[in-house]
Amino acid sequence: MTLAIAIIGAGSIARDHVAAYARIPGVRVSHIVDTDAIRAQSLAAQAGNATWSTDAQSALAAPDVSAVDICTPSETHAALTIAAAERGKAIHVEKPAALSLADYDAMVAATGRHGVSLMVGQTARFQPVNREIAQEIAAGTIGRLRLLHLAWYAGDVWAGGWRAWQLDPARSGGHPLHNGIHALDLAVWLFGRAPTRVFTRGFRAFAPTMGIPDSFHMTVRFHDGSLALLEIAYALRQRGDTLRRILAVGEAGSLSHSTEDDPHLYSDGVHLPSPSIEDAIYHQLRHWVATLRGEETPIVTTAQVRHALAAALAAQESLETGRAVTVGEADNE
Amino acid sequence: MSNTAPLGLLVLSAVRHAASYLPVFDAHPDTVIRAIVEESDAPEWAHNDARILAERYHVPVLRDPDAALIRGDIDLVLVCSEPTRHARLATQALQAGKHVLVDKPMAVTLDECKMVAEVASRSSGCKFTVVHRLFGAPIQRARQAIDAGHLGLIRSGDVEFLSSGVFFGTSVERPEFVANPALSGGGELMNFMVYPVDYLHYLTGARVTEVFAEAGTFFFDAHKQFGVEDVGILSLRLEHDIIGSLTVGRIPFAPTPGTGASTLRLIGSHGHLTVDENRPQLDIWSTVTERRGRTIGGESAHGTIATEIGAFIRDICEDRAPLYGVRDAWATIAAIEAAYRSLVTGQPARVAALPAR
Repeated sequence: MTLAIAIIGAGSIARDHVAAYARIPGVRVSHIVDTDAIRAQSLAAQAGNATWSTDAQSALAAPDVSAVDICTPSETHAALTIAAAERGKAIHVEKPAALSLADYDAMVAATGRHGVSLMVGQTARFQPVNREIAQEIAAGTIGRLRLLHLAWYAGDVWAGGWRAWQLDPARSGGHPLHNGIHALDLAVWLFGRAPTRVFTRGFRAFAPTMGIPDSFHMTVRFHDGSLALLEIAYALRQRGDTLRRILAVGEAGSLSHSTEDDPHLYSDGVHLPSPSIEDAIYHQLRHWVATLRGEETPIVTTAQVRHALAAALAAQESLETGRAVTVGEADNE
Repeated sequence: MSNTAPLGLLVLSAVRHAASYLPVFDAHPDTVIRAIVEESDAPEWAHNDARILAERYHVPVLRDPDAALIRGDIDLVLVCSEPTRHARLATQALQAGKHVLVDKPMAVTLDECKMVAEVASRSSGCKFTVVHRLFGAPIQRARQAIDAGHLGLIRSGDVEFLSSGVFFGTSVERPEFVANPALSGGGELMNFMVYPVDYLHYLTGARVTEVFAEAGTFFFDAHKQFGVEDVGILSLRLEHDIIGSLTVGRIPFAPTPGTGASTLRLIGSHGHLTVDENRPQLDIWSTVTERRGRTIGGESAHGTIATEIGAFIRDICEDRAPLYGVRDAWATIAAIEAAYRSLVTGQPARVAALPAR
């Protein structure tokens, strides 16, 4: 039976989702909602003449919609998730799931109360290299993981220029939350442990008046003392440039990968994603659909997402205060 | 190089890395190894090390540094003890009016740094330097790119400096040299952090002003026994608000076929670059050898010490200032000292500023 999905939000991530759903058999994007009618209409056309609207409630109320994919700015995630849960819809919500632990807990409680599933779009778990690193760690290849170093560099700036909502920390929660959550979630997943202390340092690469630093690093200490250094930089000069590196060190060995070693296309004006990280959104949404059909066990658990969210909030506080911050709400494994 | 007689070298304690430094002096046309001296109250293993190397180079072993240092046929002193004696022995050699090359780290406390710096400033005729790795071809290549303006203004630097523990028994003849604080002055941050901090200063021109450190004792019995870290991660602030990050220490397997991995990534306003001290690399797939690769141009760590010793001898002969001086070493050790303070407080620590010259 075809699964009808309503997408709330018609920005750049929603476009990627529409493209991914087109590759998943038995899935139909039935509704596109955005506060901007032109954007909603345009993406609805791309989605195969989906119904478009500027009113989320109309899509949530549609009886043929069984699942909702929330791709709106982060500050709206909690209310939309709770509203979708109240309508009995299965929910996929873009990262970060929420801007506070209280909001996140309310989302999880609402989905639990109404008996619907909630998957947060923690895309890094679905990048091919990270999936394989997780498999090797789970297989015991390097023993117990004790040290992780990620360097994720890109030449990038958010779509919309100075209008980008991501630059407003009140809307995005700041960069450690907006993108740091990817690295933190990956670390929580690979370690299977809870962060306890975070320190963050950043800089604004292209304009000192940016509302948030586009580049930063985080040190993370886990409850057993294990360590992660997570770097995220948008500061590469050329838009589309990418450098991604990972080193995972266990008590019996190490795993490492760098996109410097990936095969590349070299062509003027074209930057294709490295094969080691490409297609993650497709894999993520395919997995979500498979979990809804009972074909796969969810690999993004709400408990791990909460650990990553708590760490990201602590990382943002560290950025603002210049102090190391204890992850107050983090529970031990 | 020089028309005058070769420089006479005295080795003042010959433990740890002396065995890898002495072949360079032995082969150099402008130096002659005259003697090895070890303090009379040094442990027996130190005297044994001195004896072994003395036999190899057919030189006498002496037990009185004061007497050895006043000899007229000694121009240059290599201080190669365990780290906790470095500063005192280096000071002693400077006070005797000799040129000094001291193994890293130059000192293990800021008081020791101050002491060496004060004596060095009074010994203006003596050249002084510390073992570093700035002459490595990959680091020099990076510096040239930066000096040419290709990166613009550097905004961030990340260094991963990791040694493979599978070589623990061969690269460090006694694990206590890096694990027993009485000999090493600390754990692997004291042992290895000098290199990445030196790199960042040399490449950016900026000093480290603040350090946040996390460390762990995860992998090795020697470190667990002495309660010191085998690995650490660090967040640095440098002058001009450059940010730096370090991953430093000893792990079971560093990601390289060699004994240690040293890579760095610099992001500048007009470009970025990567450095890998083990690359470019020739991959090897063979039933004849277990080696998986070799660094094209030779391993940076091996080449750089020969280059440094050669440059230092030329500095002495031509009265040039060495690339790396006492204040460079002091600034780096100040960053390490701040890292250890940060580990105690769990908060970032300001790096103690050096006094004005």
